[in-house]
This record gives sequence, C-alpha cells and structure tokens, in this order.
Amino acid sequence: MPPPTPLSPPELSYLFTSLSLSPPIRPDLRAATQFRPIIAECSFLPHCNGSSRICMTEAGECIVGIKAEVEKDTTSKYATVVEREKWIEISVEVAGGGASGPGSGVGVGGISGAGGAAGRDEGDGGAAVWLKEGLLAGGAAGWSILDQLVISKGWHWKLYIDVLLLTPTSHPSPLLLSTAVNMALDSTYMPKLTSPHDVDDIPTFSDDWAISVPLYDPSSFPRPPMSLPVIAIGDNVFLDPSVAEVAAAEVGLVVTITLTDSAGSCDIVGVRGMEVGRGGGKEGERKGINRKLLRKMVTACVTEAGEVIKGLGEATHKQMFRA
Amino acid sequence: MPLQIIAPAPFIEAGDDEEDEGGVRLDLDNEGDTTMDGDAPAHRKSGRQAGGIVTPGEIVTDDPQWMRGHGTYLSAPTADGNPQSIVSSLAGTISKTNKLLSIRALRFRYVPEIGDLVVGRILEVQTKRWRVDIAAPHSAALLLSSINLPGGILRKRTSTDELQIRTFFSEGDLLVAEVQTLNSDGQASLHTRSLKYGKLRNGVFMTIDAGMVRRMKSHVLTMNTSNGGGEVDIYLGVNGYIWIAKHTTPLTEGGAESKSISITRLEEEASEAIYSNVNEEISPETRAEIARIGCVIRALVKANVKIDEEMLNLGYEAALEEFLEGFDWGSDTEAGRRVVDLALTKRRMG
Repeated sequence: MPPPTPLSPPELSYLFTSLSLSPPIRPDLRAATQFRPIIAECSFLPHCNGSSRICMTEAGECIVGIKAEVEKDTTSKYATVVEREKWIEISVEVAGGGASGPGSGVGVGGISGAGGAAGRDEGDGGAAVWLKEGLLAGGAAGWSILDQLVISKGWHWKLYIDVLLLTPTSHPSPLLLSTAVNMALDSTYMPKLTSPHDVDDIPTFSDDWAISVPLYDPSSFPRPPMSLPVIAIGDNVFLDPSVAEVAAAEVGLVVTITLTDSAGSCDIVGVRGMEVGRGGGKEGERKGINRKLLRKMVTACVTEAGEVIKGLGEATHKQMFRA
Repeated sequence: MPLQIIAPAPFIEAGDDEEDEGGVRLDLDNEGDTTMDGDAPAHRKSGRQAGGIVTPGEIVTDDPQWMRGHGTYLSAPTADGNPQSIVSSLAGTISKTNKLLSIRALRFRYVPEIGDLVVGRILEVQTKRWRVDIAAPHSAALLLSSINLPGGILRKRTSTDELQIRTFFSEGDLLVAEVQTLNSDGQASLHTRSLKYGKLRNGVFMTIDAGMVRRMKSHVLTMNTSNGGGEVDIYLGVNGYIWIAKHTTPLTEGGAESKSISITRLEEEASEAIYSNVNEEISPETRAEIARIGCVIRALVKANVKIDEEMLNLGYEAALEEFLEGFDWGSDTEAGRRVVDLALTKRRMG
C-alpha cells in the first residue's frame, strides 16, 4: 500500500478557503459541530467482559474486547502510581497490517508525541498510550478507574483492553478508537464478589451473570472518557474532521473528556496535539495557535461532547438490556 | 443530538424457504429429477439460483452441463470420479448466458478500457512519465510525450521538458485524462492531448465505487446551479473518481476577440496556464452548490442508484426543493434518503 497521497495544491486551497469562510462550508455540508453517523454495537463477543464494534465512514471498522483477570496484588501499601497503572493493559492492533500498517509511521490517528519512547516500541505509534492516559486520568475529586479494579485486600482485577482495527487501509481517527473503547468499557461487567472484602484469601465470585457488577456504574459519574479530534481553520472550529479537512487544517487537537453529571457537563482530562496538514500556507510554514483559539477549540469539545457521550451511553445501555 | 448512532443491521439467517421462487435451480441432477427431498441437505444447499448471491469458494453447481465463465473455477478433481463442480471465485450474482455460468461481482475495481475518461491522481514522477492512480488494479502511466507541452501544438518533447517534469504535474496532482492504450496486463496508458483534459482546479474531489458511474456519451457535465451558484462542471470519471468544480470558460474562447482563432494560436495561449496550481476566485455561493452536488452524489450512491446526467439533475433539483423546505444535510441523516426518493419519483413521472 503506498502512503496516502497528499492532496493537490488546488484541492487544498479550495478546501482551506471554503472552511475559513463565515459561515464555513464543509465538503459534506455538515455543521461545524456535527458528527458523522456511526454504526455501533456492544457486548457481542463471547468470553469478554465487555466488547464493542464501531464503524465510521473513512475511519473504517474497529472492535474492542475487554477481559478481566484476577491478579494478586504485588504492590505493597507503598504502591507507586506506576505499578498500579499496570493493572490496565491496552493493545492496539491493525488487522493484517503488522509493521507496515498505516499506524506504524505516524501513529494511529496521527497524534503527535504520544507516549514518547514507550509508545514507539509498540508499533501502534502510541495509540495505546494516549488511550490509557485518558483512562487513567480519572475525574474530579481524585476518582480513578484503578480504585474500581480493587477486589479485596491483596487482590485486584487486571484489565486487558484489546483494540483491533479491521480496516488497515483506512484513516483511523482518534474518535474511532476512543469511541470503541468508551463503549466497550461502558458495557463491561464483572462477576459479583461473594467472599468478604477484607479477607486476604483467594476471592470467590458468583457465577450468575445476572447480578454481575458494571465496571462503570451507569448511574454514577464520571463516565468512561472519550477523545474528540478537533481542528481549527482561521477562526472556525470543526469537530469530527474528515481526512481532507485535517489535511487543510491549521491546528489540530485531541481533547479527552469525561461526563461528570447527568446534565451533560464534562471534565477535560487530557489535551494532545494532532498532526495536521499545512493549512493554507506553504510547505514548512505553519501558523501557531493563540490562546483564544485554543480555548475556543476546547470549549467546542466540552459543549458538544456531553451530548455525544450521553448518547453513546444510552445507545450502549439500550443494546445491553434489550429484551 | 450532534451524533447519530445506528444499530448494526441484524444478521439474517439464510432461510431455506426459497424453493417456490420462479428461478431455475441449477443443482437438479437431471431435468425433472425429484429425488431432491431425499438428498442430503448439504447437497441441496450447494446449488444456487440464478440471480442469487454467491461468495468466494461457494459451489455454484456440480452439474457438468454448465460451462464455467468469468468469476468461477473448477474444483479439484475428486478421486472417485465425481464430476468437478463450478466454484465461485467472487462475491456477486450469478448470470447465465445459455450454458455459460459467470459471476458478476458486487463490488469491483475499475477495469480500464480505451477511450474512457478518467480522473486520476499522480502517484509518482519518473524520468519521462508519471504513475497515475486511477483506481484500477494497476496504476496507469502518463508519458511526457502524451501531454500538452506548452508553447505550440504537438511539438516533440525535449530534454528541457524532461528536466521540468514537475512543473507540469507533481505528486498528488489531480488530472482528467483519456485512456489511450492498454498493455497486455491491462495497465493503462493515458493521454491529455486535448484542451478538454489536463490538470484539475477550482473544485473538490470525491470517490465512489467504479460500478456506480453509468457510461454515457459525455462524462463532463455542466450544470446550471441556482442560489447564485453559476455553472458547475462535473467530471464523472468512469473509474469512480469525480471532480466537481466551478465552470471555467475553456481556454479556447478566452482572450481573443474572434472565436475562430487558429489552432496554433490557441495552443500557445493555453501554454503555461494549464499547469497552474492557483484556483480562480470562487464565490461562497458556488462553493455551497458544489458541496450540495457532492452530497447528492453521495446520497445516490448510498441508495445504490447509478449516477448519470439525468439522475444527477433530478437529484440536484430534489435537493433544492428539500433545501427550500428548510432541511439541512448536515444534521438530518434521512435527508439523503428523501432526496433520492424524490428524484426517483421524478424520473418515473418523466
């Protein structure tokens, strides 16, 4: 597969001008904050605690399976954060792509600098690293997913989150991966503990899945995090940019947020830069980003994302509990 | 809500209740053989009706009276002298011509034919030629000698041209061309030796499935758009690559007062400008209409309606009517469906 060909200069300049108009004209006539429809289903994999499958235009198809394993807590009471972070393992694989997949060079989703040295080794360009980062960032008041993984004294769950991108020739957007992980986490259920909490013995579980416990309690907050790509062209901010729009963008961010209440307000848990094209300028000339625009981009995510995460959660639960 | 979530289509078990359909089953051992009921169900399943969908590796028939055509192969001979069966190598529909069985693929790559108008993207610049992506199994070649060289009609290429090859087309550039020749592998060689062809500017590019473009007399359409959009050119590449751009007066008419200028003169005028990378001034109205046409094409393809001039015009009209009723492509995902339905109704009414 040859590397994705760059857009031709007339194409780029046409796109750039269209998108910097006021109001902007997107090639598919979407509103600036409108997402493209997605196809989603969850908990369809047997032998997984939670799973999801997402299809998006351009980005292709992706499945996520989450498995939990009981592990003896090897960390002492002086457990460092780093040790506890090993309780969650994320791997991102491109089907059939291997080392030559599109994710190998620039990183899946084109997120720059994700993971640094650690990310480079994994062959996925660090997608696993930023996914995990968003997951661990938790929420307000020191809430952390890791606390949910504690079973009893000395025992904890180890989560394996396996992301498989089924369409290796597509342009995987961070939205695809994070939506899939979000939905899988939302549909993850753990067997109910039947042994007492405060005993050191090997824990025992109920084998009745009807009384299993959700990892993320549907009625509690924060919900699982989600990363939204956002780009800016001129003073216009666009959510869910298409590949061509990213190529024409001046600046791109991936904003990770979690839902914090039922009204749909959000917490920002992470912001990363995203690789974008060269905008309207010449090769090598790239505009910086000013604070006002940065704020505008993040605000756009926060105001729109609440609805999106909520909608996704509702769709998940509808599928989980359908008759 | 800014995001629409669609539940996946339910998985449908292939029912076995298709026997009462009028089609001829291909797996009858002999005409009128009625031992079917006693046969193993696996055997019954192995035969498929004409018009049904088969998948690669699926046995189409084991009846020796059929000949195998495109998209099929004969299975390995069995030791016990059973007849070889015809197996599908494609996912598609069965078509029968007398006793010839062939499979027409549901989705396929574009197969170039001489004279096709194609839209392509330059993949690579080589010493005397370009490699062009035209969505075919092989990338096409565009020779330096088969483009319009600036500075005069059909002159021979020189070493200066070879050195300046990137000033004509460089990687990523889009062009419209005609398939000139095909070599034995089916690899196409293109040419742009007409002022109709050449570099594409002033518009947007989109791709659809090659099979969705109906072959027409002319693949370059000019549409009169409303809302002050002016005229818009649509290059419907036979290969499924589409370029929608603001209508530009062809260089043949520009400049000179008299329209009947000599060919030589015209070529000279066309010289440098045809390889320019700079867009013209395009009004926001035109941009909006270009985007609307793009959406119409996408909606038609999604609804499995082949694209031709008539459908495109009807679709565009339908989209305008819906637009007047205040709908919005972006947030209303049913909009495309409605536009297509409206366009199809219009076509039926004539």
